[in-house]
Amino acid sequence: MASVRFAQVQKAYDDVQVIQGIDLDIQDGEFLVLVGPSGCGKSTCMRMVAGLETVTAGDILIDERRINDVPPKDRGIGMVFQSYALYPHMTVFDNIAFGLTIRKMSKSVIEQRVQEVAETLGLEELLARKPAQLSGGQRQRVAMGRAIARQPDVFLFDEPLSNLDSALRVRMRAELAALHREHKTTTIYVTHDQVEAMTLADRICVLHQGALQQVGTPDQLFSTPANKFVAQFIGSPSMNVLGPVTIEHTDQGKVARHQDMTFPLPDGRELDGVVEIGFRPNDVAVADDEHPACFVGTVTAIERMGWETYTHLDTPAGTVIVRIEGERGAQVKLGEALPCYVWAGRLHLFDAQGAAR
Amino acid sequence: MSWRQQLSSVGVHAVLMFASAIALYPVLWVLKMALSTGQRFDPTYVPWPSEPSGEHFAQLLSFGPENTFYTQLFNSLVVSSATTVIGVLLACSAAYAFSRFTFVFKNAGLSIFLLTQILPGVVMLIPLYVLLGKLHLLNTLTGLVMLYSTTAIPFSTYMLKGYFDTVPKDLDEAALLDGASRLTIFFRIALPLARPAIAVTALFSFMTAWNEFVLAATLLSDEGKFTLPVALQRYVGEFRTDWGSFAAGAIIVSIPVMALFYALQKHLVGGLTAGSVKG
Ligand SMILES: Nc1ncnc2c1ncn2[C@@H]1O[C@H](COP(=O)(O)OP(=O)(O)OP(=O)(O)O)[C@@H](O)[C@H]1O
Ligand SMILES: [Mg+2]
Repeated sequence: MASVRFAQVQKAYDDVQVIQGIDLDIQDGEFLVLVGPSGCGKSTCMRMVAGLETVTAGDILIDERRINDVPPKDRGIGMVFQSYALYPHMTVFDNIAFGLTIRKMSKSVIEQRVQEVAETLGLEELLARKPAQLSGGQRQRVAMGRAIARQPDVFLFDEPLSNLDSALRVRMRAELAALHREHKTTTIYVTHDQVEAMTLADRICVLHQGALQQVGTPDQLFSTPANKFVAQFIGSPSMNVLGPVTIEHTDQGKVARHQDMTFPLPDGRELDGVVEIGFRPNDVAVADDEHPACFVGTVTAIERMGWETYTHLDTPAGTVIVRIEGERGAQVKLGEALPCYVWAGRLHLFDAQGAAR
Repeated sequence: MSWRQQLSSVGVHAVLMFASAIALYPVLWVLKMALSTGQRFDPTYVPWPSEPSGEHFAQLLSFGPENTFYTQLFNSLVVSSATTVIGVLLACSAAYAFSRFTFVFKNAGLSIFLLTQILPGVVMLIPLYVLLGKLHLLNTLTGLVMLYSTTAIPFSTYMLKGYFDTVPKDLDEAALLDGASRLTIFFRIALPLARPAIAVTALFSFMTAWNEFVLAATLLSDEGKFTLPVALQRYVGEFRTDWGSFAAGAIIVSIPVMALFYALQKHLVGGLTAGSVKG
């Protein structure tokens, strides 16, 4: 059991700064998911915790102990690589036992520990096989088994499920969640997958170009993103952001206007400096008598997902995606001019720097 | 199989048999010479002797104080094995370092390795002779082993580095987190995985040493120190050529290499392709 803390951590390769001073506190037993676009530095952060990469500046602390110069093996870390990195010439048993053998544990202890791990992960039948004789899902489990066997204080997962097909991914996701519920080991988990992030995380940390954008529970990130980047990164399809808008006072209250698109604004919000507004595809409805249209868009593409229909609209502010439920969604036609209403309470406001208001 | 497939199969086999015959015909002639009686062998195109006899083999392999063949066979085996062991051991560790670590002169070192391969061995013959003379290693097997292994190491290192490069670094890192030291990783992860490449390099080193003639002929002067290629050459004399014994000796010399090839062929197929992907 351990907490992990990043204190002004920076990383540079030669002259290229890839991590720009990150501060992050990970609680004991927490499941933290790192997300961000490709190349933003997720793996680098992870590898610095593991000791596979040096820290250029700042400190990383595990249980308040500075570990910058502690060798990887003494950091109490178990890591699952995206490639699994199983030793191809060893059996599953030896793969799981390798770390224990190196640490000179007794034969009987190793035997018992591997059995336990194999039971937890359903690998009992496979212990005598080589990695080449396993399916993707089984390899994934062996990689996890190897990390678990050493009973580390911190787990690191770098996109562990990205090589699996979607059905298997869903199952492994559930197993991972169950495993964490049971052991409560502090976990840092990198993923590209929104659903994985939302379902597994206690908290999500969003990185962009090596800088920390926001840390919070999945709900917090979804409902109150700190800036435009997080707003558009979290949630799928991503948030519609448009601008520049002008704030005007009308009889109905304040509105944000972009050409002939007009969005009523909620009361009591700080409006100084707002230049862009955003709303999720979910927070739009087809306008009717009670809900006057904020804008009208021409349907350019339709994605029918059964109960809901994602409709791409061409508007004066570019393409806007809206989700339409049920019957009305089924009736949408290409080329149709669709009047849309946006729930005022769900509008997100951004200033010139992209920070949320 | 349709008749068309059968026909094409017959065609393919005919071509292959023809090619094999062309390749094997000279070898059969060597066999014919080795098995002929005395120095007489009929100069017809028939690749087998008219009066087969094993006298050349018997003479070559006879036990007796005059016969140096066994000593020379032993010399060859010792030199080739020692070359292989020393060469492969050093090449493995060098290749792993080149593949995994960054250090000063890394690229320069690799280039220098290549440079030594560009110069033909004969160019270095005189300096080497002088050098070995100064070290009092002329006319010794030790000196020969040193020369052979140093000439084998650059190629072997390149070959093995290429292979180590294809072994994912993730494996090293996983082992590092598992608590393994660099040395443990080298012995328990890298080496076992490089087995095919090691087999290829070992075979290459062994064969080069086994077949080498120019250096051995220059540096060895004592008949008791000769390796087989040098010994064989003595049968082709200035005044008299003992073709029969020469052919018999050539056949005996090629047996160990063939045996080694056969034993390692399983690794060779994987090793050759694996090494050729990268590096
Ligand atoms: N050894 C290296 N030398 C130089 N630059 C590197 C090195 N390793 C990574 N980088 C750079 O550091 C940045 C962050 O890389 P990192 O692997 O952490 O990204 P990531 O967020 O894990 O991306 P992905 O989602 O694609 O795995 C990238 O811009 C990458 O080009
Ligand atoms: Mg990565």
